[in-house]
Amino acid sequence: MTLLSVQDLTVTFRTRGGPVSRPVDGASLDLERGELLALVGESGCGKTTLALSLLRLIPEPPGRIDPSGRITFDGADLLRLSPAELRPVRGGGIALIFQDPGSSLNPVLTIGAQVVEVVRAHTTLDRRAARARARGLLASVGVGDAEYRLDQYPHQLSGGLRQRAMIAMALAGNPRVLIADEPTTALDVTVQAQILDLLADLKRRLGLAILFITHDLSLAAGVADRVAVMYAGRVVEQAPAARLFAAPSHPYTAALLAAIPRVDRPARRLSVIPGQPPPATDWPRGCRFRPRCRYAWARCADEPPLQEAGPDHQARCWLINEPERRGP
Amino acid sequence: MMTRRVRLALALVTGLYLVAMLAPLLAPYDPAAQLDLLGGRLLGPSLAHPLGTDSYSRDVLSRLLYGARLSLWIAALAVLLAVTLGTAVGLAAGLAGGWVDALLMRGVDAALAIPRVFLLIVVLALWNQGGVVALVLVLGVTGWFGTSRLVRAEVQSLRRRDFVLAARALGLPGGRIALRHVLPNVAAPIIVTAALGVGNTVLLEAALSFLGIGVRPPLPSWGDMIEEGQAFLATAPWQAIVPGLAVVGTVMAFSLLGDALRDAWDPRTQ
Repeated sequence: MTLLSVQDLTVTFRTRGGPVSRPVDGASLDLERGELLALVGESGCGKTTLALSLLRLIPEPPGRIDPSGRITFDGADLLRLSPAELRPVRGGGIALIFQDPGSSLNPVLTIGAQVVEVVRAHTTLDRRAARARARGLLASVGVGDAEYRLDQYPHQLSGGLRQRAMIAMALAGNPRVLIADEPTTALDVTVQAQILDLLADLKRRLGLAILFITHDLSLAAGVADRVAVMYAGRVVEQAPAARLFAAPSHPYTAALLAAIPRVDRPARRLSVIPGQPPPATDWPRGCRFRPRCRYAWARCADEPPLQEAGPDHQARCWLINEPERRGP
Repeated sequence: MMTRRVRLALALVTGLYLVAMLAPLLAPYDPAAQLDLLGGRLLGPSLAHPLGTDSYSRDVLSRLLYGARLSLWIAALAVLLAVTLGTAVGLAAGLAGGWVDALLMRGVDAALAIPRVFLLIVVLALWNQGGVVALVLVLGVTGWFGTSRLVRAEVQSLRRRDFVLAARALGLPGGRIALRHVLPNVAAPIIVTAALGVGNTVLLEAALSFLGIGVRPPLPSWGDMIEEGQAFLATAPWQAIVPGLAVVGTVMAFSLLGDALRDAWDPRTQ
């Protein structure tokens, strides 16, 4: 059942005197109850803007979320809520964690103070009860010696512990959706794996739906139930993880997969996608991947719709209609 | 955080306030008592009067101590008022942005265009029955413009920081984010300006009292003592020099504190 549904989300940024940028341009996406959906794309494709827009956290102005889009959570259109109605959704319905736990924790407050604060913003617990809950939260995200950690400052914790503390903060309002924006990018590889395990564990244990945003398809492969691939402000393909990796339908997804170095194959030159990602001020006309696509032909001057490429699998590509062009 | 200079400056400032608060115990005489109008005027330093007496035969040391009490409390309260106002306005402007920010900051620009001393002279000359309360209010209300600019600039960079975004993303109320997440991160520069501000305000209050519109006789004040003493510079120079040195020493103690705190807290000066 769909918990969070994004339909045709468009976000524009107006720069003074400059061109209007559209980092998210007609993106659609559904997050099901209790699933881990990975949103994958390269830098500048609009992933983070999309994540922030879900809770209306982009600065407005200069940013603007086009009112023709819809973000439906639990029956309410988040784009039409008043600020007072939106506040309990933030942290209480949908929580967000960021890339660098070092900068997303307040340096002058203890871990405990920060977790307690979120607990108290979303419950009626008194100080003592909130502290007990904060201790429980820290323990539940794998922070050992939680009582001691409560009184420590962020700079006294390692990167991995900080991200765990940040996750504890995010869980403090009992959200049903956790948006994790590149939560492991700032961490060591071993710690990265632990945090991914933690996210998978939270999904199972709490039935949390997780939107996991990453530029790294191989990370998505490890934990995701479904994967959505974003390119140039749009979702170009989405499918169950196993299917997406086995049979990518969009040439962009296929090219990304081909660019992952493999340890189980003989070494060869890494394949790269030619060209640069387009700038958000000037998306290509027609199919946005056309200038970099090896299969592009005349029909790609018209933008393909998101169409069925298989069971629960959609992609924006004309190759679905003319599979023979994919060639041998 | 606690460098040797900070400790030294804190000790000096604490010492000043202790002396000021204990003035009634330390002062050998009533500062207003005219002890001996016939033979006790303009006496030089002696055991009975360590700093001599003035032209009304009042004990200079007693007046100096009571003057310290008044000067230091006026300065502290005025700066407290100024810093509170400046922080509130700076926080509001920096967090709200947009037209609120523009309105507040253009107001501050306009206020800063008026020379503060002239403004003070005009207001205090018109409000001449206000006494010490008026002095504190007027010094406070005219003293917050610089602080508000400083706080606004800091807040503008802070509000783009991830932890403020994270606090918003997790549903904390705006007021709480302002007071608990943004404000403590601006505390260091605020405390530095406050320390420097107290020194400046002591100087300003002395200047106003010297002109006769600050602390008014018979209340003892350093500025007034200098003013009275200047007539006797040739015959009894300690009359003006003693309170003058007191002002200089106090201002230096606060400047030292402000500078030491800034050096200790500001990573750019290390």
